[in-house]
Amino acid sequence: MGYFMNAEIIEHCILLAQETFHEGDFAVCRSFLESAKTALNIFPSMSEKGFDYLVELFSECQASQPTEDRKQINQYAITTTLSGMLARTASTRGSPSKEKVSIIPLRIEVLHLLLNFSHVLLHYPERQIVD
Amino acid sequence: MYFFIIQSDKSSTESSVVGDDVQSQLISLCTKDGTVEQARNAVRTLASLHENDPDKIVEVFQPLLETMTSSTRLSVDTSGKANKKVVNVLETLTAMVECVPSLFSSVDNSKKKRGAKAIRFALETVLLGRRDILSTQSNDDLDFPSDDEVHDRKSSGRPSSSKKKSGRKASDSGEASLSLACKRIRAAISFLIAHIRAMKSAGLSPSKEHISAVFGVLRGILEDGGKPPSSYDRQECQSYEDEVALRQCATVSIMRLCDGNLQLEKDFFTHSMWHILGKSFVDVDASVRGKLQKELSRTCQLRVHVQSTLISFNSFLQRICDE
Repeated sequence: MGYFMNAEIIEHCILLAQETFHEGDFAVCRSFLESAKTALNIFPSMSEKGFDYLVELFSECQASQPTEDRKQINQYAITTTLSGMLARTASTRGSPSKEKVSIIPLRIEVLHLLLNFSHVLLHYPERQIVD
Repeated sequence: MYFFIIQSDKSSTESSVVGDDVQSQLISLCTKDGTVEQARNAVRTLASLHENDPDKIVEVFQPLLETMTSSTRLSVDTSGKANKKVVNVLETLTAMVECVPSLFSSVDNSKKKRGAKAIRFALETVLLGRRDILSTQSNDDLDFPSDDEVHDRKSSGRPSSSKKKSGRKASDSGEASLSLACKRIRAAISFLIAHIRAMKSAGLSPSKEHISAVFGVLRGILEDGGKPPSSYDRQECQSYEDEVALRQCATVSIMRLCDGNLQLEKDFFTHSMWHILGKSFVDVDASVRGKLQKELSRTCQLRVHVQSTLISFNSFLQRICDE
């Protein structure tokens, strides 16, 4: 029961994204980044090396000059993806234990509110509601 | 489903130094060629990297604030044409006030005058339509020309490059049907709400008059069915989509001010205000209702003094039922 996630795999994903970026295959680069992004969104402090690789790739992406390359970088939103990943992971850079994954239970107050709300809908004067 | 993290290499615990060139690239996303989302991400990254060093944060963000609040950027119209950059500027300022509220904390301190200028611009110029409010202060900005402005001045009169155009199009494509005025108003409201929340959270309270003015604007928008408060913008925001977008923005903003931590209920949440908020739950448009419900569930998930908000709201709903 359960799945294992190796931090190295995420680092390799980012390295592969970097490789494909160098080769000008931006669609594949985007796919690798998206995979790493999914993992880092859940566990932002998972890979410290990964952050360094991301910074490196971001720097190369920003320094990329050819018009055709810039066009494709914009098309595949690589800068946006990278900046989002940096923003997510940089927050745990100073204190890696800061971000914890928490499961938030549905609180009893919310249930009360929903009950009340359904009560209002039942009693509210007839009104045309467009769905 | 469970995930177990295997950290195979523990030797790289020392934090790497992000070079100045990367920092300048992040700043250029905010000031030059970045989309709204990229600019917000860049601000968050910069703030996170220096979160343990308050002096460094101010050192990094003060020049950025000066650039973002220059008279060229903080203007609704530039040389007779609508300033499209102002939406990006306001969104970037929102991210800045969320990450570094101390930059906007004081109105009197000369170093923080720029923050106050941005607040006045959002409220008085964008929302209330007092277009001449900052024109008398334009001379103050001559000391802070940014690289981008220098570039803008040089290239004025020439058509903008296709590279820049393609970058903007990518970010705006989802909201193509909304007018510029509508996007501008939404950005200004988000900025003002973020400012009030950040100030209150940091224990620094904005003036009652300011908060009251913001509430007045939000209330006015909802009472008018999504019409902007300024007569300038009413001519532009006439489509159904614009009105829906403004109603969404206003209700979500009021909901965000309901946070019990902010302690605004006693002074600002009158019975009529609760009534207006309650009406939004049965708005004629499904997207407004959906957005508000989503915001409510988000508030619940944050678990930030949510009980007082929910109890107040519950009692309000019960009162409606009784009526």
